[in-house]
Amino acid sequence: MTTRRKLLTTLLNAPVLAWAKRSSAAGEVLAVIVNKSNPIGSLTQNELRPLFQTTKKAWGSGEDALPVNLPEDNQLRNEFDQAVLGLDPERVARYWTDRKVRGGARPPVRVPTTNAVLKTVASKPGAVGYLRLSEVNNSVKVVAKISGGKLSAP
Amino acid sequence: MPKLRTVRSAGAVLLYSLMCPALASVAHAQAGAVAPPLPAPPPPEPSAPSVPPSVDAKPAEPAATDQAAELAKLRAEVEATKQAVEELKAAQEEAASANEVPVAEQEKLKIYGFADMGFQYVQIDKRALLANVYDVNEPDFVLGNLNLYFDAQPVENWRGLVEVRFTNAPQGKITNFGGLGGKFTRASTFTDDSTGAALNAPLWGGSVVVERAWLEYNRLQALKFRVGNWFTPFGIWNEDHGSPTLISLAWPQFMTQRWMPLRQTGLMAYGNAFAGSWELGYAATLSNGRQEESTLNVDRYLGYGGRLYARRDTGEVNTTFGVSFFTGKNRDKAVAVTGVNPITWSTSETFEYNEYVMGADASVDVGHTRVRAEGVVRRLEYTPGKRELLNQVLQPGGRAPDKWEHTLYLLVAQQLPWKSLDMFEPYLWAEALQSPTIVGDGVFVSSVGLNVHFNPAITWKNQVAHINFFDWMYDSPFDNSKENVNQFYSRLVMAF
Repeated sequence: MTTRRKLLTTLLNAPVLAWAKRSSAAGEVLAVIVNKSNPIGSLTQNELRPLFQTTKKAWGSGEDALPVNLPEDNQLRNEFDQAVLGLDPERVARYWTDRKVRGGARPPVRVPTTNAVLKTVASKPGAVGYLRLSEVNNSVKVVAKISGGKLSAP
Repeated sequence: MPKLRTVRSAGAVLLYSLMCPALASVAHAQAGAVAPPLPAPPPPEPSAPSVPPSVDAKPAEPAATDQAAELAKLRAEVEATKQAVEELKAAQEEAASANEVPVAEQEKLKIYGFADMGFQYVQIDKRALLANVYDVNEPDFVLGNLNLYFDAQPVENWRGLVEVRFTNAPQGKITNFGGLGGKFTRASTFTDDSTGAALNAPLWGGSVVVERAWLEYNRLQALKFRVGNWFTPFGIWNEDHGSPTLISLAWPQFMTQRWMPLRQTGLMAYGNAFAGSWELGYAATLSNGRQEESTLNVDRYLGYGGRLYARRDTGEVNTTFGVSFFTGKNRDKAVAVTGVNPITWSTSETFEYNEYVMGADASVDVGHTRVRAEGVVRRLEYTPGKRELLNQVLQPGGRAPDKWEHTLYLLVAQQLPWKSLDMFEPYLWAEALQSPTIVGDGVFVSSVGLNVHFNPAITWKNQVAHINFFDWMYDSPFDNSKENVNQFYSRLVMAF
């Protein structure tokens, strides 16, 4: 392989690798989604936080809330926790350790993939979850977006 | 899972092949059937003969065409790779989805817990009363806590939690003093292991302590019910409870002296609501009361308590303010046989008192700074003629007085702000307590500690404390300057 070809390959592959990394990591816009039957139109950080801390267990309508989380090592989860709970992964882990020791309510249910988040939220009336905005389809409703670590209206 | 691994390894191979197209064909073969086909790698270029550049050499046009073609080819390769990565991601998600547990079926029973073990040294003047009441002045490796939680949620809105602690207590505890106190004895849990493979294999038993065990109905956020044996919702310490969550190792004096019952058996109603970013919560309790004499209620009096709190948690700043109270009547019941044929009995109370305890607490976390402060006031009033006997060896004829007790402590912890040192969290603690005891009615505790947070699950906790006894409002019959205590505790703490 000539130097020129190597250089070309590297230059062309760089955006692919960057894209591949980004597609599963930081920088992408996240969508906070609820079931379509949920009357709520948008959620603020103050409304979302207690749902994902499980200190609030119902929606205003009285419907039981079912927050759905991704695994702790998922980059989207980390972005969500930082934007909504204001905590980095280590402090999130400590938060839930403390909660367990105190005997407090359990953490949100955890599903392995964004696809599972989508399916769960689409099928459970009280569910709320998050995934990449590009993965949202019309089976759910977007109630907030997270971009650059900030939560905003949809 | 094997399928997932194959998909992942295929992805890795694919990305690697991008970096090194010459290996692509080999990599593709390794990826097997799961990996999508890759575009064929470009044919290897013939090695050019080493010819010096010639002025006659024809430049440019065919070379430019070749370059454009090569670029187009590489672009196509990139597009194909993008598509392949997308397909891999989809396959990976599909594989993961196949292993999903339906949300409603998740984790009906969870088992978790914490443990702390380590070393301690408690130093007291050997002439002091306390130095002889407790086993101190020797270095001790200790089995601290080994607590297991069984957290059951068999159906929606119902939950049960049992926390048990395994301990080697009461092995070795001084149960009677010698000399004027009688014959010196220690508790022994020694026995032969009759089920062991070796004859007369020695065995020292321990205890399983039920720290708490309750069942709960939690359908409504504002009104949940808990029945069973629960920690008294009072202040910070009893709520935080375990070594992974508490900042310091040592407890405040009002907790070790049990100014309120640490746990009760009864009914608790609790709940919370939100007002903007503030969470407002309460707990109201009705119980047998102190229950330190018996697990059953030995009188008709119940214990009442409650807690109100306001909490605001933004992640960076977490603030909680709370007030707590407890009141109850506590007494013992003694039964005596007074006659036979027919057998007759009499019952009497050896002591009886009313107690009123109130506390206020504040917890403030700002970034990596944690502040805890708590103040408690307790009033204890004996029923006339039913005062408790004090230790008759130390205070012959003495009976417990009515009393006011007060305490206040402040604890400040700061995780170091530098990235490479942020695992270290030093803290300072000061505590003042006024309570008439045999060694004085004033206690001042000054303490420093260092927590080393290896990760969210493992912490190495260390604390040095000096406890100073003094006469505050009353004169003690003892020289309380001898009773001062120096403590060093070190524990490795694990949450799991």
